[in-house]
Amino acid sequence: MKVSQALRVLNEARGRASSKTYYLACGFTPLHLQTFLAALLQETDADRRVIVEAPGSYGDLIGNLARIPLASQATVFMEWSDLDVRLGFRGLAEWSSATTEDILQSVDGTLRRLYDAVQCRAGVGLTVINLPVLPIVPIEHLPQIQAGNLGLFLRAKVLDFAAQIALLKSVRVANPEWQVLPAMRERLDLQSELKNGFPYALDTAAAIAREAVVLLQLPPARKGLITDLDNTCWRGILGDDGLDGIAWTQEAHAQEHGLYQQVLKSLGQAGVLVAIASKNERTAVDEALALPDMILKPADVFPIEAHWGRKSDSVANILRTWNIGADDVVFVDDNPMELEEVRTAFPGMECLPFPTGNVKAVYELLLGLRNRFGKAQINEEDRLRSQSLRRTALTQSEAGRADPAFVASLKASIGLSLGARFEADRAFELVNKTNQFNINGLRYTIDQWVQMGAEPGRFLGVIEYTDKFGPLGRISVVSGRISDREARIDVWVLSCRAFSRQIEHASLQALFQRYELDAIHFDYSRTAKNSPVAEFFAEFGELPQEKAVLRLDRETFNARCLSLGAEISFLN
Amino acid sequence: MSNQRQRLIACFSTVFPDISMEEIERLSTAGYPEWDSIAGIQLACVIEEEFNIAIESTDLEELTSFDLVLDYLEKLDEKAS
Repeated sequence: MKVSQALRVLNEARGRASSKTYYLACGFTPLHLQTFLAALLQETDADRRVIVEAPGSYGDLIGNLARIPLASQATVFMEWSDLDVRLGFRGLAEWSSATTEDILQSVDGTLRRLYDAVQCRAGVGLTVINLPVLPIVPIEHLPQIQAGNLGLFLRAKVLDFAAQIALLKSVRVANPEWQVLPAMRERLDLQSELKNGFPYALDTAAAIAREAVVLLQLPPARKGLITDLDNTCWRGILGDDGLDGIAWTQEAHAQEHGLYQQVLKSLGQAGVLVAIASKNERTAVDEALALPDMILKPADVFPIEAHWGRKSDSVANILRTWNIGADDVVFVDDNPMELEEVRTAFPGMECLPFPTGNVKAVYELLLGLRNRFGKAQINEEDRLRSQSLRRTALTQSEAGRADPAFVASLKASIGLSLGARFEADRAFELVNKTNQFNINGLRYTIDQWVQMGAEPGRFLGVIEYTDKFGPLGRISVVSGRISDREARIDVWVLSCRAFSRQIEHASLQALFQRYELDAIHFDYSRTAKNSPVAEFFAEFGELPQEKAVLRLDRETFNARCLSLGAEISFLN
Repeated sequence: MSNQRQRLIACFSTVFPDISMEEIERLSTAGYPEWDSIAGIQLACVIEEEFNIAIESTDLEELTSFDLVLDYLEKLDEKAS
């Protein structure tokens, strides 16, 4: 992108009524970097005018970051001179081995202060950290091609800082291995640095701005992956070649299939749902998965659709079991006909070919799967997801929907926490990704979410669930405002893994009890996916219209609510 | 209007989108506070991209009005030819 192009993009959006502000923190003059960042963000926003503010003064990266509102989206660009001014070109400090030790100590101190400044924003705003991309000043006595002590220690300190800061909530660190930048010797514009305090060549500024925008706007991770088996998880056709004829190891020159299984297993452990859709005899598939050196185990996948019916029927069954939409799922198969059949039946589902025999393409596929399913943090609910789906399927198959006697036999306990903060955590994630049991389908930016927390009378409830099969973790969020013994709820979501357990009923009972409410009002809107909400409200009266504020008084709730089998406790 | 003048007006318009074409032709740093050092750097960048030239930093300090920039470009053209 050129500067003129960036300015034209920004000029076109000038007249828009609403705007969105992002923040940039750096120690140098932001200049063209600010322009590129704004233009690239503007290209992703067709409705609002994008503003990038860069508060503060030259040479004060940490102070500039501290000036940025906490509940905001900020991107930090750090360079070597921010860590110690002797590592920049605008001073004339001594460049010799005598100052090395002092520089390293100074850098330690700066990184500690920078960590503290970023930590203040953790969980409140979104912060993208860009590590130094410029060459270190020619301070060492070695030829540039040879790594020197100071340079190596500096890089180690920065990477150590990055490893610590990447653990903080809502902090994303640009991966230096994968940034697409000009060659190192092309990145610095010394004339611009000396004259204007802006150190980057234009190509480099545009490139790091582009990488920052990608990190600021990571798409939500997909939820499920459906995989074929033959010539995908292993080389060979199970039905034709038998157990001895399929291969996935280095010894059998089929390692790429084993690597694919490794990635699937890893995705499952990170909370991605993994299922099998294979045209095979079920017994043969069970035998194959039970092989001792098979990487993907039966416990890693649920469900397994192995039969001779259509692949799209298998996919439909899996989606029904998972209770998630096709848009949230990726399908992988080596057979172009199967891919086309599933793509036609589910236009919203991404269908990827497994490139059997092309190891380079398999590597690209593995990287692509990581990109589609990657998420910033893995929490306990992610680890529990597949197991809990298995239990839900068992619960529903044994009992039908919400059979009170069966639910009572679960010996469930529901914990309601009413002291949660409005921050970028599991509650925020649940609200923004739940579709089926979601009273109005509304999504919130982190800024909006945090601002809600400041509203008078606003409460935030997070519900945890455990039964005799084990914990589901935090599976529901409810929020609203209370006034005069009545609550107005505008946020209410329940994970589809937790259906058929009367958690919705227990949540309302807890709110009625805790706040001594006479009635609860719900800001309901019908969406394409939230029919479970309509079904729930239908238990207490007429089915709601498209958009309505529904009122449920305590007497009606108590009269019509099924007797609850769960024990309810207030965690705070 | 010469092609060079038109292109230069377009460059100014990119950096100063609120000003009309007529005002651009009369523009100078003295008469328009928004033409500050940052805007001047952006303007130089846009002109360099449009005309595929590199403006020396010493020359940039002298280019304080539309007319002076136009003269500069015309002289570069003469030198090149």
